[in-house]
Formats: sequence, C-alpha cells, structure tokens
Amino acid sequence: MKKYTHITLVGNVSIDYDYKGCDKLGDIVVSGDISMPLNAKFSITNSEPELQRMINNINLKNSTILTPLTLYKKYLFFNNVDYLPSFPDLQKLHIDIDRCSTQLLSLLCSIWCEYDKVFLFGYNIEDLNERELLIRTAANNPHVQIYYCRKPNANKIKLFDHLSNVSVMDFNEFKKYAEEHTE
Amino acid sequence: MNLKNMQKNTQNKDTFFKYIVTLKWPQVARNRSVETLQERPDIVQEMNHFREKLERVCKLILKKEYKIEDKFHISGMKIQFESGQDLYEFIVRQPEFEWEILPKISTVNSLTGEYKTFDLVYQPTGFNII
Repeated sequence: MKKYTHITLVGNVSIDYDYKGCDKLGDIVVSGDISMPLNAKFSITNSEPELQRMINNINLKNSTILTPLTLYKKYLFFNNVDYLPSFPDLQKLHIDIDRCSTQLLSLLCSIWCEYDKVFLFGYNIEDLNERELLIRTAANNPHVQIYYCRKPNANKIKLFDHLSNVSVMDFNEFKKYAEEHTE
Repeated sequence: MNLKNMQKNTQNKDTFFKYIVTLKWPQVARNRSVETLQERPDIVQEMNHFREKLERVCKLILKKEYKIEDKFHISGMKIQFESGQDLYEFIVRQPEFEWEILPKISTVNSLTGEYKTFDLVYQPTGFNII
C-alpha cells in the first residue's frame, strides 16, 4: 500500500477503466461528480449544482468533497464538505479557483498534499488551455512525478518530452506498475 | 465553581469535532471576571444551572457527539459538534431554549487542519455564513 505517496487523479474525461488497481496502489482524487463506485479520498468541484449532486451521490459517501471557500460557506453544515487549501501556484498560473477546471484543482490539491507520484486518468489535454496549465504546473513542481495514463496506443505523445517529471504510461504499464508496488 | 464532569461520558476518542460555537452566558453572568465570580456564588449557581440545562438539551436534541468545554471563558461556553446537522439544529432552535450563541461559527478543515471562523448573519428567512 502506497498511501500518502501515490495518488490517482480521475480527470474530466470519462473513460472506461477499472480503478481497482489504483485503489490498492494509493489514494484517489476525483474531479467532479462520478457515476461509478470509487473509493475516492477526495472529490473536488467548484460548481454549485455539481456539489449538490455530489453531496447526494452514494458513491462519494466516504469522500471529502473539497470546494472553494465561497461555495463552502453555503454548504458548511454538510460534514463531508470542506474548503480547498490556498495553492501557491495560483498566482503563477493566473487562474481563478472558482472558474478553472476541476481536474486542474485536483492536480493542484494532489501536489499540495505532497504526494510523490500522481497518475492522471481521463485528464483532458485536448483542450489547449488545460494542456498548457498541466505543463506549467508540472514545470513549477519538479519534485512531483506525474504520469499521464492512457489507453495503449502506438502513437507516441511528445508533448511532455521537455519535462523530466512527466511521463506517459499506458494502462497495461500502469497495471504492471501497480502490481509491482502493491504489497 | 463546579462546572466540570457534566459532559457526555460516551465520547469516542476518535471523534472529530469539526464545528465550534460559543453559547453566551445568561444575562446576569455576562462579562464577569473570575474575581467577581468568586465573590458572587449566586451568579456561579446560575451558571451551573445554565450548564445543566445546556447538557440536558444537548442530550435531547443532538444526534451525534458533542463536547462542552470545561474551561471558563468570559464570552460563554464553547461547544464542539461532530455533526453540521446537529449544529444547524442547535442554531435554529435557540429561541425555544432562550439562549443565544455568539454569531460566529468556527470549523476545522479536515484536509488542512486549519481553524477558521465565519460570521453568522441572521436574516428574516434564516441565516447566512459570511
């Protein structure tokens, strides 16, 4: 069990993947609402309608739902709702915590929690702005090893080649890694 | 002053008390120094009765764990709640029990451990946290 060192980040793109291996390997952080049972330690949102759905979502019953402070004040009486920490990267990235994507917030939160290895599943990099923010976040935090996990694909991704702390891993490689690092 | 040993004995050691509010003392006991209280046993008795009432009401209306602080505060009695729904119930039922909390709610963030205090603003339709 690699809790506190490994975290799986479930991004904004819905993918067909069995997260059992992720749960054994470490913690899981979810971006927004989910429709599958997942033992997520944290789930993150900055949207009020989504937060309302998440509060009532049985799949997130044991998960701490993290939101920006403005939203937290409205839902303070719900035990599993808490506010996000203040991220040192916010100013460098020029982002608004109330409007940016939940996957970016999940990434910043994973880094803030000082997980050594962050595995990105369903992380949207087709959006150029999201891709740019991911690259800048990774560059700002060279001590955190980030793995972009995707379906096995013969085409190589060269977007992260200039970053020593970002690697691309396919699901089979991840499964093998998880098996090797799970007691 | 015998304000101790009156809280629920069944508290679980692992209970995380996320919410904290301060319940104001009854009018006669507000803003009294320890020195004054030592000279006024009648006020101390009033405070003891108040605490007994609080303990009874909490046992009656709260569903989860709570803790009433033993330490004397000039502003009132600090009460810690495990459940936000219990705290909500405690706030909305203040007129029923003729007491008043300081209009502030403190919470402990489960991720960061940060202790933060928010203002409670009463409105005709309910209350807001700001």
